[in-house]
Amino acid sequence: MKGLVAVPIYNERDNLAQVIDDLTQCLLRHETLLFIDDGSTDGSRDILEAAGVRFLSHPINLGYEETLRTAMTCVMDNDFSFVVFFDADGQHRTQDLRKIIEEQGKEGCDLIVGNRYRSDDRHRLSLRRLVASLFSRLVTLVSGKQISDVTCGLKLISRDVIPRVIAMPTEDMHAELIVGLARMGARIGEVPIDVLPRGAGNSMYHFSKGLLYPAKTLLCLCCGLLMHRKVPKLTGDTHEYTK
Amino acid sequence: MNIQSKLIISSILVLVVVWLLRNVYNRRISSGQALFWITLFTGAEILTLFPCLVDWLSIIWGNLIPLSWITFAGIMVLIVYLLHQTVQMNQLHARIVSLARSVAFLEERIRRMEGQHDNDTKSGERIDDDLPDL
Repeated sequence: MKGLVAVPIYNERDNLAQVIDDLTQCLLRHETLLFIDDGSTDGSRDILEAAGVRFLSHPINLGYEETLRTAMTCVMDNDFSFVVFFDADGQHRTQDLRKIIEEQGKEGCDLIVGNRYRSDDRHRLSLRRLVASLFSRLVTLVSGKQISDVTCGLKLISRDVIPRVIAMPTEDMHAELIVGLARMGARIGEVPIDVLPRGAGNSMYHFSKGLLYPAKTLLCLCCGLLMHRKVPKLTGDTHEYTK
Repeated sequence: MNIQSKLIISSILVLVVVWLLRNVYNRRISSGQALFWITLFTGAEILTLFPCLVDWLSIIWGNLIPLSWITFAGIMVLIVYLLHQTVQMNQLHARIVSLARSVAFLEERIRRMEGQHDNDTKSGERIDDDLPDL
């Protein structure tokens, strides 16, 4: 099975070299590594060029969600079986990437998300954890799927569901993606992962975005639920893809 | 409203319509956008010249005070126009995203072809790196 490992990048100059090193060492022959620079202004693109890795570069900043869609378009235009998203901030470990890909090989899930939060972890009291926990409960309530960490950036999406994902109303493809896919009957799995502290730079969830994020995600969730009747269930056959 | 006021307001409205037409001619404003504003200003012109129409419309609407009717109608028109503009803006955004994505794919292809060309020139033989075209 050919897989695509996509790394969305926006202004991650200081973390990028390490991420490139780690990923180029960990990937297997049938896995393609693709960096997607989302219009960075800090010279991230120069680092990608100097490293000689394969990358796409948006001429303007389109946002995280559209960067993921660009990667998914690559999957559909080529014969990749899945795409794994790996953050460029240096917080994800390549061992966890391998765990997720192995899980896909064993279980054949349509969506596998990393789970950063466990009972003994250090994020227990953070605001982010609180929001993630609320969304996690909401996802369980609406979709019936027990997913502990709905906001993790490390996730695998199989080719079969990508056309649906591309067409879905989403905000950063977190809770609303899981609910949308769960209600279509997709197989969803979760893999426990560890995250490293951010080396340099700032998270994209700054104050104003952090405030708007839950509201936007809820809106997308509601849209997904209201429009659900129009979306047929997955049957396991190859789904037609229209660009 | 006395005749002087009517003339002043009418002249201003006519000048704005002329300015709009000039911008359409110079292709600074699209004909569709200009059409909306010209229709709106023409309506305002008619109401300015014939204020009795305002009285008549406010009675038809439900015995409103003419001033309230004008305010209400103006706000409604602007809200509908804003909604229309929101839809248009999002359609443009979708086109920009699609365009930017195409540019990214094409640029990657060019970069790859240039790299391939450089390799061919240096080694004299073709090197296939076994990567799919994106």
